[in-house]
Amino acid sequence: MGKNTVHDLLNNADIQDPLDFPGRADAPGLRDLDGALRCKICQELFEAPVVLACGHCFCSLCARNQISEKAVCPVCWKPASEGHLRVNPTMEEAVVAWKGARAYVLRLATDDRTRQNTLRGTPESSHPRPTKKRKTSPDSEIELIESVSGPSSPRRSHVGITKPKSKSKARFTSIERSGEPFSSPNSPDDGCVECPACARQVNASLINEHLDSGCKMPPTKITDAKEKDEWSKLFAGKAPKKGKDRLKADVNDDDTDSPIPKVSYTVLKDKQIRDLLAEHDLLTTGDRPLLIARHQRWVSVYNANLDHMSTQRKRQAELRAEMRRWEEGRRATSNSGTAREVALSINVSEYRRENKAEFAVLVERAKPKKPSLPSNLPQPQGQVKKDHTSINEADDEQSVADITATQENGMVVIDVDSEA
Amino acid sequence: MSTVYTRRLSKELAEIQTETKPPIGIRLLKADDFETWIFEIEVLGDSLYRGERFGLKFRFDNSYPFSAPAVQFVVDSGMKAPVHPHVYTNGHICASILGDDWSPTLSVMAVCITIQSMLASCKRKELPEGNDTYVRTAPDNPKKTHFVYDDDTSPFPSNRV
Repeated sequence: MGKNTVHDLLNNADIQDPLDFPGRADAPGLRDLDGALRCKICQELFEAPVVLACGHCFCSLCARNQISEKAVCPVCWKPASEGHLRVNPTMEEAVVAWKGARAYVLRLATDDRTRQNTLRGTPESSHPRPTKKRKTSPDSEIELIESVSGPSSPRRSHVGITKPKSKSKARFTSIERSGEPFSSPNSPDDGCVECPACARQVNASLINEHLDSGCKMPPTKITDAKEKDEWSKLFAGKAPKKGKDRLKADVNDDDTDSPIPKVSYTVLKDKQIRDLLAEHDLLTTGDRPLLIARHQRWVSVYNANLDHMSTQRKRQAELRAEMRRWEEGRRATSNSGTAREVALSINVSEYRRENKAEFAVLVERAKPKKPSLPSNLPQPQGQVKKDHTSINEADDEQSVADITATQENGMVVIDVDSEA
Repeated sequence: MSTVYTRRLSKELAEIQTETKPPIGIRLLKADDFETWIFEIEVLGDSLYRGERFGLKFRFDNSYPFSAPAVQFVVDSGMKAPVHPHVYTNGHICASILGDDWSPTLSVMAVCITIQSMLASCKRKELPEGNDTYVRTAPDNPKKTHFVYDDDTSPFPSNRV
């Protein structure tokens, strides 16, 4: 019965991981590729990837959580700090592109595997079609590579001069390309390509004639209207409007680009922490550790979101939903009594209270040693006016006597005697 | 954090249960929720523990994977902890990767393999020094014990800063 709940969770959670892809034998590199775009901490595709000083890349939120737990890189153990986090927009672009292509590539890969399997299971002669397809695919691949790496511009492959034989391959390439951030105004949609010889824009359907004539044929010019359009797109038209829109949206969303500064909670009273939370419309209930944890969490979530490219950022409503999930998860684990924070806080204060009697006995037992200490004490005090160095010595002596560290059975027990 | 905790554990569980089976000698006994998992560890080949089987219990909370799970050998229902210089008779294990040397890039399976190889490389079957004292006073959760790792079994000896 319990097993079912986990299985339900597994099924419902929409868990994706590199193992979705066929193994190395069937689809070389795909598992590795999917794995390489994942954070080593949460195993998800990078969310707002950042690099630490050592160069290792993690989700911004994962990196922040890790640093607050232990300020080292979890891969190479080099020191890390939040101040040294740098956003990694290139990785984010790769992840966004891969997110778009993943389902499609996965389908291609699994289809391919089933085809290969059926092929292996039956005599080849009875299935001439798949065999043929398998033969042609390397050809078309080569052709595509040629068209990309050859002397002519890569754009040629888009405008249908070299028609790839394999349809799927062609689509795969176009998906890759559409993920590219460098879509210049002369993108293939305008039907023009750059002549590899004279570098002028030539209508794709005329490029061969143009080249044959030794670049004499007048290249088809981009029409004035089009040119104007391009310029307006760059300046007066879309860009500023877009910026304004974004600005407006940000204001509506009560969103700015500046991160929330970290707070040193020890200097704040409970009420001040509640005010901080109220400032961001967060819950102000709970005890002090919870208030602090909640504010820390919000600062991390909020600042991590800013490490996204502006187009990938989440709305504040989404961040708040994330906070609600966090509160729920926290409640669930603290109810079952496994929360580490609960365990640790009990460990210190309550443990001391619960075992007060035992401590008292131990202190009593340790007291016979004491008489030697107080008899020492007046001596250095008497020397205060005479000699400064000797009192320092005496102080050191005392502190050594107060803190006794014993090492036994693999545990270090540090006993600080606060009564002395 | 909590969402990372359950999502990551479900990934790990899915991985354990699917085609990439855990290494030989490691078997999942129980994983009914995201709080307690139990594995069976057996050391194969030539070792002091030939033919013995041990239960390894993992306890997780929502600080996983940023902080290590609580790992110990099962010492009830007919199971015993191995006799090993780093394993106390109450099942607690003194291993640096379960404490100071834990890294969120490690996984449940990585811990299982480490413990398995810790047993496999054992030269002398003996209890840790001061076992009785520790067992008498030990907290229920081994993570509350401050172990001192006094030998060279740390997995990251050179690049620790």
